[in-house]
Amino acid sequence: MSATPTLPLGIDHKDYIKTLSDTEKHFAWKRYTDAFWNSDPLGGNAKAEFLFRRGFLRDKWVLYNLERHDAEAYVSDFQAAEIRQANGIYANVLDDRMLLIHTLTGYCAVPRIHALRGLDADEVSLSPEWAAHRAGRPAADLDIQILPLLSGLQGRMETVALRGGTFTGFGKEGSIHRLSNIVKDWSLASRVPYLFTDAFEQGPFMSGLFPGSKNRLSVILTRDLTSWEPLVVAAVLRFGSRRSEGRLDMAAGGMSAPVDIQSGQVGQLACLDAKNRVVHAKTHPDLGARIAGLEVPGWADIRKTLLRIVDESSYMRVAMLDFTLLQDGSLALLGPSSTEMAPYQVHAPLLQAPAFAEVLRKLAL
Amino acid sequence: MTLFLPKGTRPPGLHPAAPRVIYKTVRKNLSHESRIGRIDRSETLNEFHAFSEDFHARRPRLDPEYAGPLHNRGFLPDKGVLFDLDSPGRADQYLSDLQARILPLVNGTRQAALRNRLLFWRLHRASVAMAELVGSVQGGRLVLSGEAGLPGPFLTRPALTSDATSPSCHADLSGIDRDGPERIILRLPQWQAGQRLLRVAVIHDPGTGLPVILGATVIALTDTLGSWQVDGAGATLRVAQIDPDTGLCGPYGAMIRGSLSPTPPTEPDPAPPVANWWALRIALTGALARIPLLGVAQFDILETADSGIVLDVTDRLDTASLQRHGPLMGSDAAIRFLKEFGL
Repeated sequence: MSATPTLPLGIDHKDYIKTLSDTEKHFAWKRYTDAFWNSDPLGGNAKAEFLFRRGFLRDKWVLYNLERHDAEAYVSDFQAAEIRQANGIYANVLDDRMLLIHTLTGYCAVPRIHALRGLDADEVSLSPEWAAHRAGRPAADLDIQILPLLSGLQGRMETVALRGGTFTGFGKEGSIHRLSNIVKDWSLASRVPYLFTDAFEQGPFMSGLFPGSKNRLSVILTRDLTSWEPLVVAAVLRFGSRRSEGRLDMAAGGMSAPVDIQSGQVGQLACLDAKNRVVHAKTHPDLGARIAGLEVPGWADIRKTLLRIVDESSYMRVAMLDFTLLQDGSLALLGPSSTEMAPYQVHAPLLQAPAFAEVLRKLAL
Repeated sequence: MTLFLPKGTRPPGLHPAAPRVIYKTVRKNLSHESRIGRIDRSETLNEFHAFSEDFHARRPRLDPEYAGPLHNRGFLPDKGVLFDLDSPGRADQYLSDLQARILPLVNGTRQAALRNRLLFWRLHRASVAMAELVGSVQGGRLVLSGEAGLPGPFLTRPALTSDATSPSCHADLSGIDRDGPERIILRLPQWQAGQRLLRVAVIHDPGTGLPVILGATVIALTDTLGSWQVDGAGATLRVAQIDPDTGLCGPYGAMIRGSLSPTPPTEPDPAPPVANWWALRIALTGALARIPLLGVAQFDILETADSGIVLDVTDRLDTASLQRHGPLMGSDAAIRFLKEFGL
């Protein structure tokens, strides 16, 4: 335990977990215990019981440096997994990629939806281009992203190029009919419907962070419950590294750099090195690209858009979204973020922001 | 969240269904009393309790002799007079107020979009020709989505469809009260004499797997106070039934919302048919095709020269105006629907 005084605005995690009372929360807690024993302690001197009683996964001892920092100021992994419940019946709007795309149309660029492959149903064409490819008629070239319809469900995610009714991607090629059958197998294997949308090409700013990965601007949006004003709680840029082989998650070596909400200035990146220690740096360790000190281009407009999205969607209590910036610098939606808090909290604990702590408390998370 | 799907049809993109029916329906018995007798799940019990509270809160109180049968069939006090429910057999063909409360559950996971008008507008503004949403009132603030300074008139309506507060009309944005529950603000086209509102109830027909119009009424709008007539307790509506296949209308009949006084007589002549009924039906069917599986929905469409503008969408059917001239639940599609979803 640390010697720093308890933050008045943090959350007493130990007490919170001890006093969980309803069935849904107990189920969630049971899922957390499974995840806990499967999580990687990252070789740290992980105090398993300490973390377990507070709802953190084992990697957080190292990632948040809980030897030195007060756990009460951090959003726990148990809470993070429950954040989607904060939106109640509207949780689906954020989880279902199709619904999210429809809801955010008009605020930023959104991927066009080409087709949907349901569980036991045939694939449904939802765009004229896809239908043309299907029918063998001349059609525009497409770059398609194939992902599970509902975020948070495990399933393969791939990108393919579609040219004249033939696809190439993930080491295979063939007719669009073959692609359909392959995706049908994935969908039946994971019991998840699959969505085919446009794949955005990231613009120069995003690819400059690390060209070998699809990088993201991840944001947490909510509302101040007293003033009802919309709020950007935190924003980070997530990008890959050679070690992570293009993946973004921190356990694999992915990196995260904080973005100052007011100015759009990027701070020092943080990542795990090969020895599973958290390192901070001003430049990308692989390519030497400058990271700290950059400014996200057009940040003032981006921030305005994010606030507008929350302001005009009162049914969304807490939204965690991923965006990218396109060739022309415009903001484009990638989808809902994973609820993993490490990319944010490796820089600073989120419960230090009183508004966010209040939101979580009020929503009984 | 349980998803209610009819047997056999599996629309793309949805999870395999969890338990499908709201409660078990004995095939032969579709009477209201037996339905109420079978209520056993927490959501439906909650609705029954809420209905009962509403029933007993209404004034003036009904004679217990009349109140008992109405309450035990799920009808609010004013429906006894409006639907002329003297004989028990008659009541079973009508959609009761309790059923209207339970129907939204049929929409399953898609309830959210129909439960919150703000969300519905955001999701479907590209598929459905709707009135312009200029903003909302929430938490004491007026949040505008478009430019300020647009001319009215404006209609404010609760954002949640379960909120029964009546809508109100304003000439400009400054007249809108910032406090109170969340409301959406719609910009209405200028009122024109003789304009009418079409209220169309749509349900999912389990036999065909397609949405079908359960019933439609046309409501004559009157220009009161130089702006739009707005509905609410005590309001007088002049409604006529529309034949969904042809667009021809029956005669107008007045009704006073929530009133226990005798229903005014029906007028002798039929109302003018709906202009461009088929264009409107095609537009509506097209829109419904783009909205994921709907169990039940009600659209308020302003009759225009083209195919109409949708002014409201809700999952709570307005049993009074839709059934002023006759019951809704007599048709084959309606009966299939009731049997399938256990209502």
